[in-house]
Amino acid sequence: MQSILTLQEICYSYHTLQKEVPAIQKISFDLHQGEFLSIIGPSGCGKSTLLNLICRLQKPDSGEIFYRGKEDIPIGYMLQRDHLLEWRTVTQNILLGLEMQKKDTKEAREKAEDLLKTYQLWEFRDAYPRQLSGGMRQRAALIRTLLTDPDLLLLDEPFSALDYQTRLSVSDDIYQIIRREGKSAVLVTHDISEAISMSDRVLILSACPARVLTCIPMLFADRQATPLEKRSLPEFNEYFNKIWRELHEAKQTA
Amino acid sequence: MKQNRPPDLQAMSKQEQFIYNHQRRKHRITVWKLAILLAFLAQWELTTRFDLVNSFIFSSPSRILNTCIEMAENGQLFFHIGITLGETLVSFFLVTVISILASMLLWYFTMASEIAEPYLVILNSLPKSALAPLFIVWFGTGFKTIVIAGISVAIFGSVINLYQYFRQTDPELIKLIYTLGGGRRQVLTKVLLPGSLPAILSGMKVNIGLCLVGVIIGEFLAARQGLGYLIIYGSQVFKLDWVLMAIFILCVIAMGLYKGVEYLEKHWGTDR
Repeated sequence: MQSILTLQEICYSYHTLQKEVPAIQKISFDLHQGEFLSIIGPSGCGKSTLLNLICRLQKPDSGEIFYRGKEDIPIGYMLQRDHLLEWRTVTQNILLGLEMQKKDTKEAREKAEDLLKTYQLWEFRDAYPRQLSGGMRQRAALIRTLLTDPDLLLLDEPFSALDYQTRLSVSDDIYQIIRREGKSAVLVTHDISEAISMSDRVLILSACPARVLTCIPMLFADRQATPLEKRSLPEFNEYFNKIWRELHEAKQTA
Repeated sequence: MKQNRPPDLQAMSKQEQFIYNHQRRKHRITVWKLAILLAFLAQWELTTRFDLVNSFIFSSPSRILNTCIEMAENGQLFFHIGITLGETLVSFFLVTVISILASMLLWYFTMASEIAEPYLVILNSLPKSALAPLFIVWFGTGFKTIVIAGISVAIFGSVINLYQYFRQTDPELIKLIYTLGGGRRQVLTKVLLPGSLPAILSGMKVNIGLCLVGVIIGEFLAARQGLGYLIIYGSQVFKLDWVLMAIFILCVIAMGLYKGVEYLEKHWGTDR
């Protein structure tokens, strides 16, 4: 399988006037085309920094990042909150990325309409964000990201601002959307259940500075199960305990 | 005799009672507002008429009204009001435009803003009336000087406030623009400017009053026309009818300008 993203021994430190804080230490991993990878680790372990590096918002101190062997591919980034602009309608919001990349073409608008229809936002296309529910806002944010046609999606705890009920159904929705659009994705989370139910592999990081502790493939007998269904499958608890033990041991040795 | 009976509160539903109480309260407030104004004018008129206070120094509502009518008839009144209003609106317009542009530049060039900070703070807290004599020397007397005086009172505070507002924008929102392929310019045009519209409009409400203050200071020192000139000239020749009339008209103008900007705020600020 071809890998879309390769990290080789990435290191990154923050600098303050008092000291240098190492955030990421020699992290390496591969992401295959169409794969869904979750990165899990204690809070403040540099997970978001890792996404910033992958998205080229920050530069690593050392190490290399390859995208499908190339220098550059389009990347979509979903932040913790939806950050829909309150003064724009849903349609204007989802077109924001295209507008800035000067790709606001007729075809793009048609694609936007299709996505709005597919993901139940068509009736709300002229509504303002405050008129939408938390789940709808998150879907609109995903459509905004998808419209720029990224090969790789980065998700930085995109459900953490939602209440538990909404969170379960939205992560189900978002999972289906990403699978249907055939995107590769990296999800950062500190929710073990979310990581297990959504991804093909779970990468476990240590506390600061972040190192890769281990990487566990999530193999479910029922491969068609949705994230919500996976939560009640027998393998789920096994994986949950395994990941929990890993994180717990790391904490004790630290 | 028909008596104006209070409605039977017992017979009303809770909702009706609530609405009745609410309206009665609003009604009372309006009555008191007007009553205070009328009582003030009445005691002023009566005490001057019965020579309890000197109407030469304190004038009186009727004398002010007469002066008003007299000056309105020969057109002088509207001329002076027009001058002051025009100068205020021009300086207000310039303050608005300049402060938006300046805060954008300060945000765009972070280092420039850090360098400029102490200067802005000093200029903002400096009493601008201290500068007015300088303006006369530099720019002469007349329209230009007065508009500059009006601008000088409002501009620095306005720039500082707006720039601070830009700085407080959620950094995640700025990150969003970068992740969608935008740059610093797009952050300004897509997020900061539209997002700070409420702040710009509420700043405008403060600025319109400050511009009027600056314009009057300017007219005190460097004008041959306008309400500020009327006040200074009237006090010098002991025509206190003029002075007090001008002050009354200023009250009305200040109120009118504020309400005007508030109207703009309601129409642009909230729902679009």
